Amino acid sequence: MPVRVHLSSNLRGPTGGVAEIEAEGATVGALVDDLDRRHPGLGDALRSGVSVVIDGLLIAHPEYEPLADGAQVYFVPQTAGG
Amino acid sequence: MTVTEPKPRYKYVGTRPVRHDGLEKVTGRARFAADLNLPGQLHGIVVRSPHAHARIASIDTSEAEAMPGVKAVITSDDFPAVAPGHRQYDMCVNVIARDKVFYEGHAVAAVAAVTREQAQRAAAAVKVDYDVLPPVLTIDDALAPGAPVLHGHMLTAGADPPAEEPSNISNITRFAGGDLDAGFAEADLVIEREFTTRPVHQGYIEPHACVADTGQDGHTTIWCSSQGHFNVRSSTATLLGWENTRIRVIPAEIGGGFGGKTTIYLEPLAVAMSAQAGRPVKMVMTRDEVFRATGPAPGTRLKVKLGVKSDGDLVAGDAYLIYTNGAYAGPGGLLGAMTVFESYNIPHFDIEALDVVINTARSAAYRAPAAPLTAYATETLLDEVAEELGIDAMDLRLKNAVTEGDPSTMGFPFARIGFTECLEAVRDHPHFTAPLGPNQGRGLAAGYWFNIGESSSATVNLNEDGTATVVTGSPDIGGSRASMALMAAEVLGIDVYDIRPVVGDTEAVGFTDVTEGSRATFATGMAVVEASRKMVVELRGRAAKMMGVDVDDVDWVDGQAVYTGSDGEKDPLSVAAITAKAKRTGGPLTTTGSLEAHGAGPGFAVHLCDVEVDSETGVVRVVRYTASQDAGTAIHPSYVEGQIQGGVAQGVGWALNEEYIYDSDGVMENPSFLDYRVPVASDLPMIDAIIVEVPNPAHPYGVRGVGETGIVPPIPAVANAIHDATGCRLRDLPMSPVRVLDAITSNGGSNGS
Repeated sequence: MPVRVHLSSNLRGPTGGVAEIEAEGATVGALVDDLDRRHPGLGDALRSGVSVVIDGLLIAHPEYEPLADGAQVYFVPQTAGG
Repeated sequence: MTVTEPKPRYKYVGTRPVRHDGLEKVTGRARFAADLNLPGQLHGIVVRSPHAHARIASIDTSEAEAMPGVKAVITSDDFPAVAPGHRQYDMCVNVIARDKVFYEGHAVAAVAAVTREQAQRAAAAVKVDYDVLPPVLTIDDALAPGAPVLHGHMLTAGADPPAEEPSNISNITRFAGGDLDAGFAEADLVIEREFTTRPVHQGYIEPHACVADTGQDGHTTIWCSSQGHFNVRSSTATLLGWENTRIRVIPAEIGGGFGGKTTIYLEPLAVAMSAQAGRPVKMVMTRDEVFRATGPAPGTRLKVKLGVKSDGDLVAGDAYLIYTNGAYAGPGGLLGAMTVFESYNIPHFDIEALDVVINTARSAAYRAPAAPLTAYATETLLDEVAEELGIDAMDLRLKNAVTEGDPSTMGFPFARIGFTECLEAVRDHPHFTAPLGPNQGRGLAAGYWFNIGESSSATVNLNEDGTATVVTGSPDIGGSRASMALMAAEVLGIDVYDIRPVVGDTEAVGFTDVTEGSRATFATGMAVVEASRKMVVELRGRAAKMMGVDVDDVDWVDGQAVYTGSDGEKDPLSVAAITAKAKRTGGPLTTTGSLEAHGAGPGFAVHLCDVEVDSETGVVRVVRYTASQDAGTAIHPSYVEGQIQGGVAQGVGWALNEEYIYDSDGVMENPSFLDYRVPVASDLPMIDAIIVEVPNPAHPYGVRGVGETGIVPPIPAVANAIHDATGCRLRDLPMSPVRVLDAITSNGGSNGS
C-alpha cells in the first residue's frame, strides 16, 4: 500500500536530508518498518517521541493506525503541554 | 462572542450553568489535599540540600531516628536504584537525590514524626556530608569550555555528528525549510534581536500536599492534589518498584497547577515512610519549598532574525534558542523551536534550539511550555517590522497569518484553524480604535499552542430516578466537571443539574492521562460523549422492550424514547420511566467510554493591551486588555473566558514582575510571594475575553483546548504596549520598574541589543 511520507526536518538525518519518501505499509507501524529498510536508522527515530498527522488529524501513538492507499503521512515531534 | 462557522443548535452545550462544585469551593467545604487528616497520622518533612551542586559523601540519620516522636526516616537507600537511561530516571532522582544534589532544595532525606514540629527538629538533625561542587547557574556557565558537567551520562541528543562526550546540552533541535540565504537576500528589511528571560514559577496558590496510608497488606492509598492521579500512581510505583495495583490514588480538589502538578515530588516519600512506620503520613510543602524545589518554567536566551519584503511579506526567519531546563533534561528548546515561527508563513527558515541543564530546580511544564517566550521574540520583532515599514501591526499579521492548508514548521498542512478570525475579532472590537490617554500605549500580539489528545475514560451511571452520574479520570482544574455534565446532558437529553459529574479515583474509573496540553475538555469530553452515546443505545433497547417493539423503531429525542414505527401510537418514555424498570429490562444502566483521542485542534489567540507608564518610577500599569481565542466550540463559555483571563493574568505577571533571583552560590533569594510578586486582582483591569468559535472537526462538538494558549501573547503584548507608550524596546524580562526606568532614562529607546 504506497503512501507518501513527509519528515519534519529534525527527522531527516537517516535520509540524508530527503524530506519526502514513497514507502509502503498497511499501518503506520508497518510503514515505519518499511522506512527503516529503505533508510537504516530511520525506524528508531520514528518509533518513539514522534506523532503523525494524517489527513489533518494529529495522532500521538499511531503504530496500529491503518493507512489508505496514497495517504499523506507527516511525521512530527511529539508535543506535551502544561 | 464571535461565531465564525455554522454549527448545530445545542440545548446544553454553550450554556452557562453554575458549576456543580462551585458552592463547595466558594464556601470552603471543598476538600483539598492539605484538608485531610487521618487518625494516627504522622507528619513528614523533607531534608533539602543547602547547596546547588554537591556530591553526597554520607548521610547520618541516627540522631534523627532517636528523637522524640520520630517514626520513620528515609533516604534514597530506601528506594530501588534506577540507572541512567531508565525512562523515568530524572523524575526518580529528582524526588530524592542519589549520590549528587543538583540544586538548592533538592530532597536528600525525609522524616516522619507524630507532630510537624518534631519532624522539623528531626529533619534538622539529619547529618548530610556534602562535597560541594562549583554550581552551573547560567547559560554561559553551562556552555563554557571546561564547564563542570552535571550529568556524566548525558550525551547531547540530536547532535550532528552524534555526541561522544557528555555535556550540559541535553538536546539540540533543528528545523529548516526553504533556502535561508536566498530568503534573506530577497528581503527588503532584516531585523535581528536578542532576548533574555528568567525562570518563573507557575504560582499555584495551593502548595503540593498529600496523605499516604500504607497497610500491612502492602497496599497504599494516596490522597493528593495533582493534574493526573493515574500519573501519580505510575510514577510512585516506579520509584518504589511496586506494581500499580498496590497503589490507589484518590484525587483531592486542586488549587491550581498550570502544568506544575503534572509531575510528583512528595507521594513516594510519604508512602515509603507510611510503610516504615505503619501509620498514615501527611506531607505539605511550604511556599518556600514550592519555590525552591518544584518546577519553574525555563529561562532563555533567544536570538531571532526576520527578513521581510517592503510590502510586508515575511520571507525569512532565523532563530537560535537556548532554554535552561534546570537540573535535568527538558523539552523547552524543542517546544520553542516548534512554536517560534508557527503562526506565520515564512518560506525560508532555520531554527536551532538547545536545551541546557544548570543547577536550579528541575523545570516543569507551565501553560503552553516555551511558547510565551518565543512569542515574546517573534511578536515584538513583528512590531518593529511594522513600525519600520509603516504597515499597521494588525495588517502585517493578517497578511502573513497561517490559514487552513498552510504548512507548519514541521511540514504538515494546518487543518481548519481560527487564527485569522481571532485577528479580525480584535480588529473589530471597540478597544482597537479607542483613544489612549496620556503616557499610555497599545500593544498587539498573537500566540499559538498545539494542544494534545491522549487517553481518557468516562463512565455514565443512570440512577433509579433517572438522574445520572458521570465519572471521569480528569481532575477538575478549570471547570471541567461542568463541561463534562454539559456534554453528557446534550447527548442524553437530561437536564445538566440532574447530572452529577464526579472525578473518580484510580480504582473507580478507567485509565486517564494527566491533564496537560489543554486536553481535558477535548479528550475526556470525547470519552463522556462516547459513554453517553452508548447509553442512548442502551436506553433505546430498554424502551423497545417496554414498548414491545423493534429497537430500530425507537429514536432518542430530547431525552425521551420515541416510537417511530407504524404500529399505532405509543407514549414516549422518559429516562426516569426507563430506569424505574431497569431491573425488569436487563439490570443497571452503566456505560463506559475509553479512547485515545486523535485530532487535537491547535489554538490561536490574539491580545490587545493598553498600558500606562509612569516615566518617573518606571511602573507599568495595565489599563485595558482584550483577548480573543479560538475555542472551537465553547462548551461552558464562562470557563473558557476564565481560562483566557487566567492566562492573561499570569502572562502579565511574567512580563512585568516575576523572576527567580539567585545568589552567586545558586541559592534562591526570593522564595515567597512577598518577594516574588504575582499579579493580584487590583493589579489588573477586567480582561475582555472574546471567544472565537471555529469548530475542531475531530471533536463531536468541535472543542479545541483552551487552557494554555491564553498565556502565550501577554508578554509581547505588554512589551509592544510599553514601546508604544515610551519608545523603548525591552528585551529582558521582567519589564520591572527598574528596567523600564533604565530604558527610558539611559538609552533613549532600548534596553536590549
